[in-house]
Amino acid sequence: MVVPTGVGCRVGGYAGDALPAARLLAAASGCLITHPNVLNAAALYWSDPRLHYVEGWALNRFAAGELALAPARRQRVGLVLDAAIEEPLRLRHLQVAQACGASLGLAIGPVVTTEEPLGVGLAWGSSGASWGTIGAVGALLRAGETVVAEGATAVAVVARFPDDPGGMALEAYRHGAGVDGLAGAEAVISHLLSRHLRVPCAHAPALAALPPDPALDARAAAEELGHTFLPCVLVGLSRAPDLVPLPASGNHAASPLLRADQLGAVVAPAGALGGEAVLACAERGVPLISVSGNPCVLQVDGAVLGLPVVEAGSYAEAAGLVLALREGLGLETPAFRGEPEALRV
Amino acid sequence: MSPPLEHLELAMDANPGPLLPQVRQVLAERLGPDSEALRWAITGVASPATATGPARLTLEAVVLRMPL
Repeated sequence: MVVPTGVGCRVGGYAGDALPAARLLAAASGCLITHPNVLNAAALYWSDPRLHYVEGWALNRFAAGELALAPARRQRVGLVLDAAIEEPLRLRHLQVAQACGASLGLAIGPVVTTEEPLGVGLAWGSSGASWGTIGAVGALLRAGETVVAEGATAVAVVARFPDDPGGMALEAYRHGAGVDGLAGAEAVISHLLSRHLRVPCAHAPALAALPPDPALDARAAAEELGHTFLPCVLVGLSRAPDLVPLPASGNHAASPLLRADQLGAVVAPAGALGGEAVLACAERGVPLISVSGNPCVLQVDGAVLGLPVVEAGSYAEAAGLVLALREGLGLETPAFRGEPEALRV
Repeated sequence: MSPPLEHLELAMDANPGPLLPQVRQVLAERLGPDSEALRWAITGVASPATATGPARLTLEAVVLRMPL
C-alpha cells in the first residue's frame, strides 16, 4: 500500500489517517507492506504483525527487487535528535523514549545528538507537492552511524522543523484542505538515513505546540494530542523488518524473506501512480489497484502513464479486490463489477 | 560549494513501453555520475501521448550531490 507523502491525499495526507484503510487491507491480504506516512499517527499507532513498516526509500528498493524484508520480532531503536531542538522540547522527546521502554517494553537507545543543527527547510514544487532539504547532511549521517555502531538495529530521527503557527498552508492542513508542508522534508530525511545505513529508519518532526483549534479536522487531530510525534515512530520501528540486500547472503531461515516477486497487488491513490514503487510493481505485472476515492494534488493516473489498473472507488472496495485476488477470483466477473457481461463464444 | 540537496523539475518524453527504465535513463543523463535522485516522482503531464508523438511528462526529484 502506497500513499505518497506530501501530495495532499484525502486519505493518508494528514496524521496517520490512512491507518484504518491499512488495517483493512492487512486483514484482506494477510500481509501488508506499507510506509510510515500511512501508519504514523503521532501519539497514536496500531501494531499488527500483518503490517510491515518500511520507510519509503527502502520500500522503493524492495519494489525494485533490490532488497528483501526479513520480519523481525524486535529491533533496538536508536534515537537521533537534532541539535536545534531546544531544551524543553528535547526533554519531551527523551521522555517519550523512556515511556516507550517503561510502558511498552521497547528496546530504545542509544540517544545521540547531531553535532550541529540540521537546518531543515521546507518548499513546494510546481505540482503543489511539498519537499524540503536539510543543510547538515553529513551531521545527520554521522549521528546515524554512531547509534548503529553503538548497537541500534533501527534508527528514529527527530529534526526541529520551522514553526508556522499563522501560516496559510498550516491553517488549511489543520482544517483538512491542504498539503502537509512538513511531509516532503520528512521523506528526504528518512530517505537519506535509510540509504546510508540500510537499516529501518523513520522520522518525527519536533515542533512547538499549537494553540487548540475547535475547527481542527479529525484527520489532523492525532498530531495535536501530545508534545511530540515520536511514539508511533518508535513503535513502528520496534518491529520493522530488516532490510536484506539481494541476492541474499547469510542465514535467514528463521524468518522467511518477503520479496517483491511475492507481491499479490499494489494499492495506490488513482492520481499518484508516478512514483518508483508503484511503477516498479506495475511494470513487473503486479495487479495495480487504483483508488479513485483518494484524490490528491497530482493527476498522474493509469491512463496518462499507460498502465493497466484495476479501479476501486474506495479502500473498502480495494480490500474486496485484494481478497478476491487472494482467493483466486477473476476481478472482471460481473458479480464484482455490477455490469452485465455478454457471453463470448 | 553547492548544497548537498537540490530540487529538480524536468520534462521527459515517455515512449510506449515500461516507464521506469526511461525515467532512470533521463535522471542518469541529467544528473551525471556525481548525483543521485534520492526521491522522484512523475508529477504531471505537459502533453498527452498522440498517434504521432510521445507523452511529455513532468518529473520532480530531490537530488543528492556527492561527495557530501
